[in-house]
Amino acid sequence: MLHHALNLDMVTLPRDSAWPGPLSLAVAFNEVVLIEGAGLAESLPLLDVAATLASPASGHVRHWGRDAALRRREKLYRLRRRIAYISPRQVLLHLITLGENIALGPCYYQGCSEAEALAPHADLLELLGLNTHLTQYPPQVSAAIYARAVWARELVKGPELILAVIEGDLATTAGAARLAHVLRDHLARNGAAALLLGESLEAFYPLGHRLFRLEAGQLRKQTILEHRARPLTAYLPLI
Amino acid sequence: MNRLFRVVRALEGLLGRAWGRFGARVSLFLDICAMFHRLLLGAFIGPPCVGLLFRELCRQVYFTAMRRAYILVFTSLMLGMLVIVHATQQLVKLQGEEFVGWLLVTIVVREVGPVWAAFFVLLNSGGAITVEIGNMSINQEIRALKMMGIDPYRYLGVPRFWGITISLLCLYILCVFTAIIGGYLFAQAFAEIFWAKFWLSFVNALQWIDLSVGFAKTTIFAMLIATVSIYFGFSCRVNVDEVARNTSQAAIWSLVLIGATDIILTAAYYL
Repeated sequence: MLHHALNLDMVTLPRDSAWPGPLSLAVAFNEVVLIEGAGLAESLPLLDVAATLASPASGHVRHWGRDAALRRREKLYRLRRRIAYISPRQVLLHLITLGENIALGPCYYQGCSEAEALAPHADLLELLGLNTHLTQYPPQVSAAIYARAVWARELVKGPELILAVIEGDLATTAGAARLAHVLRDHLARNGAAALLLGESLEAFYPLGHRLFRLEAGQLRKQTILEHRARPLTAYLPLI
Repeated sequence: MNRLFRVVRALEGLLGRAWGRFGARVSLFLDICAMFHRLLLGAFIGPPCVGLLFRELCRQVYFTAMRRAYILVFTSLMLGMLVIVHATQQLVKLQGEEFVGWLLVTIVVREVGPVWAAFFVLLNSGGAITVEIGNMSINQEIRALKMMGIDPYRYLGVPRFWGITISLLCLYILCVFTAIIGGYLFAQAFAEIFWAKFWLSFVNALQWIDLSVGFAKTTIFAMLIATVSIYFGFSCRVNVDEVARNTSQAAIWSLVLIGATDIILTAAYYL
């Protein structure tokens, strides 16, 4: 269990969710797991539980081998610093600018200024096309820029586990391609495990290690065609 | 027998409901106490984000103490004048002008001044804090903060708590000064009590204990207003109606707690 970034062990999600039975799923270090066919109704309850924002009805949620339910409040906040959770329900604080929103986490934890917090992440902001919007307030920007700002805010944390729902503007061909590029760059630089959910995740196949399809509340394993001839050395970090 | 049984059942129901309500109030009060403890210590426990918290604190002090301070100046002038207008009429007749200072110390410095400033802060900032945090809570911004690994009580609550406390202390001093000036202006114009006599009477009557009680009341009132407003802001969870309901509840709870604390402190002073 210690070599798993996330381990859902016989987890039953809250009763009104679209997951009828207990769910077991493990995401190893630096592994990217894709779950296709999951809409918002299925994705949000699962990721809320995985991100420790909601408690499961039964079962255990473990991050890096430790049960999240046993952690104290301050440690739970520190745990969430290591997790990026991106979904359409994640919002920006509307009273501060996009730049302040993105830099808020580092400023809070490192006590630095906004400029100091954003300087090491100039490339990420460039890739997401946010540089010209940093002084704008969230209600002033389009939905696409808002969604990208949420990605930036979460990736600036330097997360070791990325939980994301690919939906809305980011699920379009151009949006998904840009996001896949950003993710590839981030994973190559920092390395992280990721669990991505969405109706269609074709753009992320090159990044994925395992692919599941959600059918009637059950996860069915699929083969990623691009990976048929993958050399075994790619799996060495998982051993 | 049947009727008696029904009466007993009805009484049981009434008592049960009354007990339930009492329990809910006690539980709410304990929650507010827990929040107070969390806000009081929040500044000293957690990551070292002094700059960030200081910026938020300055915003709060500006909003509470500076933006509408002229209204408090005006109302405090009126307060000082009112005290003198009622007092001098009688004191001049009895040749007791030297008691004007004592009267101002008792009413303005020790009793009404802290409550006056606290009411101003409650009206000016208490409701605003509840609405602001309540709306953030309903718009899922508190959840976003939690996901960023930021303690929302520390980031949003602590600067407001200390900001309100510092502001109320400043406003109390301002209130006392302007009330004295108001009192002096009226005393000179209508009772012909001149500055030297007025000031001497005030300084002679003023003792450290009066100032201490005034400052103690002000500090406690400020912390109560801030804690209650922040608590009810964070209590909003479902919809916007809840924000309105909680804002009015926060105002009522603040008033009740201020009144109760004022009585306790005044009684303690005379004991």
